[in-house]
Amino acid sequence: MAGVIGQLLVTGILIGLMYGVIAVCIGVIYNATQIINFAQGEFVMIGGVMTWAFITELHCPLWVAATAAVLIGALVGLVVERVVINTARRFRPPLLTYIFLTFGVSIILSNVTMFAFGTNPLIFDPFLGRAPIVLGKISMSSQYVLVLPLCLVLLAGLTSFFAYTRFGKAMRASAVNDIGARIVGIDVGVLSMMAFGLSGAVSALVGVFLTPITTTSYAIGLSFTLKGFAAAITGGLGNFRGAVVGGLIIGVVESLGAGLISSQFQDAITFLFVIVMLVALPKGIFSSLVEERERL
Amino acid sequence: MVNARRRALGEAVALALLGLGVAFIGRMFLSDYWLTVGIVIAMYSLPSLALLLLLGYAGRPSFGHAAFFAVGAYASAVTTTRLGWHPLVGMLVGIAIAGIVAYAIGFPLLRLSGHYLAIATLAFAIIVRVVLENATPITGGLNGIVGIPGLGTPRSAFFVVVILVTIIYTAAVVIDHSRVGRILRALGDDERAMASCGINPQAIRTAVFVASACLTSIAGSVYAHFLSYISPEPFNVDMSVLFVTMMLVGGTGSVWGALIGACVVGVVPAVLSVYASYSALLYGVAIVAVLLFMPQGFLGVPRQIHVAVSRLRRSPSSGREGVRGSETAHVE
Repeated sequence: MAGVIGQLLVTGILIGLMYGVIAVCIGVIYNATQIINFAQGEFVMIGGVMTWAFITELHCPLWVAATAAVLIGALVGLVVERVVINTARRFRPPLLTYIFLTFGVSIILSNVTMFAFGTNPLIFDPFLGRAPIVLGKISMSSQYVLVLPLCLVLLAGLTSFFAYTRFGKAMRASAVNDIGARIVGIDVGVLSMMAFGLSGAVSALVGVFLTPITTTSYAIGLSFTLKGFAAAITGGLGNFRGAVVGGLIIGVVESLGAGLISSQFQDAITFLFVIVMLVALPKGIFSSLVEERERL
Repeated sequence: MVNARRRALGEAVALALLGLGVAFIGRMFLSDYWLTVGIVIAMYSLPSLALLLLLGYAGRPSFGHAAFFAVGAYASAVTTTRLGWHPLVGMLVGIAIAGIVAYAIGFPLLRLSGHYLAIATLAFAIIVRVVLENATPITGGLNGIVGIPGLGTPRSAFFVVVILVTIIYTAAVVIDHSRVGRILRALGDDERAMASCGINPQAIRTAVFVASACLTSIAGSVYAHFLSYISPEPFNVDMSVLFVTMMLVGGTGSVWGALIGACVVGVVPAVLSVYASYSALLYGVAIVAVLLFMPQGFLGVPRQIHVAVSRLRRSPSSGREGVRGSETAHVE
């Protein structure tokens, strides 16, 4: 029993890290534009599906497929921003409109994927081979081994991007006080483009690494959006450290719920927890950047 | 004031007459196929109205109203087939359950920004579906429930459903123009001003959410009796998306928008029945396109045409200038 719980905890934490990265991506867009992107999970899905397509249909090596998938993720992010978000921005609609818009985009992206790649779950081999890793009583897919370094690298990269680069600083400035940011000459349109491109690329990369574990399909995006958003809320919207903690909590709850209670009810347990989270901790564990703005 | 009241009365009478007219004329002249299309449109115009009220009065979106629709459908199905209750009692049971659940979700979440309710309703809809699929002793699981008492021939079913919908829409128009309606719309405009008048925005918003859930549940009950068979499968995200699309396509400015949206979106699949599998994609495209190019929906089209024509008349050679002018106006 202890072995089972240990295994569930380990896989939960590792999957949770991935949710944390997705939550960070939601935070990146939120900080730059105050928009919650309901299509975030679709970027994850596109990463996985594109890698699958390049590997099994075009017979590319893995690194080519993964690179292509990440570039496509960034490109889709940019196109969505230019075609939909930027067009809408010219009318200065209420934030509510963006909820509907990004939700519409998510439906379009998932359905286009369905027509292109069908409804079956898609999967490719773990990067380190099919043999599972055995550690004492714990045995799991070798893909899990890659999750920790990937997430650490991504989080370190994003953190230093926001701490040291001009674009990163501009994004933080715009999150804290967007009028002030515009006054000092920060172009909000460019920031928004950057945020969607970056967030699309990183989410797609998460999709590439997740697919050998969870499989992917056109319909999977919504659940990543929900879990990512719940993680982002738990940590405090726009707070990256909090997003990772939130992701870990959700990953562990999901894994324990599926393993100990019932795998049929896995989604129900996770999403019930998401609602409980929203109700109990609407402000999150950590304060968010945007609250700092309100304090100013 | 008198004028506004007269206008309200006129609108309510117009709606009631329109509904009655459609009910009688449709019953006399439509083929069974178009009667069925009409029933579907009338049925879906209720959740469309529910979302419109939620957005217009509480300023909140929901992407999970298929769950309340399912609650109504299953409440009717279970009470009529397993307990042998009267269909109207079944419908009331559905309304009660939907209302209680909506209160439990809405009360804590409606004071937060719109994102929270959107996400919570999406999550809730997924939970409801998983429960319906697995609570086999009550819901029949994936096999669903058969043998629900039907509504008779398409002819009589059409008549009953259209009359029911007409009553609800007429009531909605009357409420919209009443003092209550004005209070509700003020909530969307300025919450602080309302609070300073001693009206609690949070309580009203919760009440609106509960009402929209109950309204959707009624449509679910109609659905169960109309098809005589239900399974968890159709109560998915696509159904919630359908409701949102109907509301946005019609236009969120008035009660009529929900009705127009249901007609437009409901007729398209009937006309393009070959392309049924493309419907979800169409809804997505419709949501984005309407919000970008017709923010007032079909309701706003006459005004948009009017503006475009008058702009062309003013500067026939340089339409582009006119567009730029209006943009600056927006910024100011």
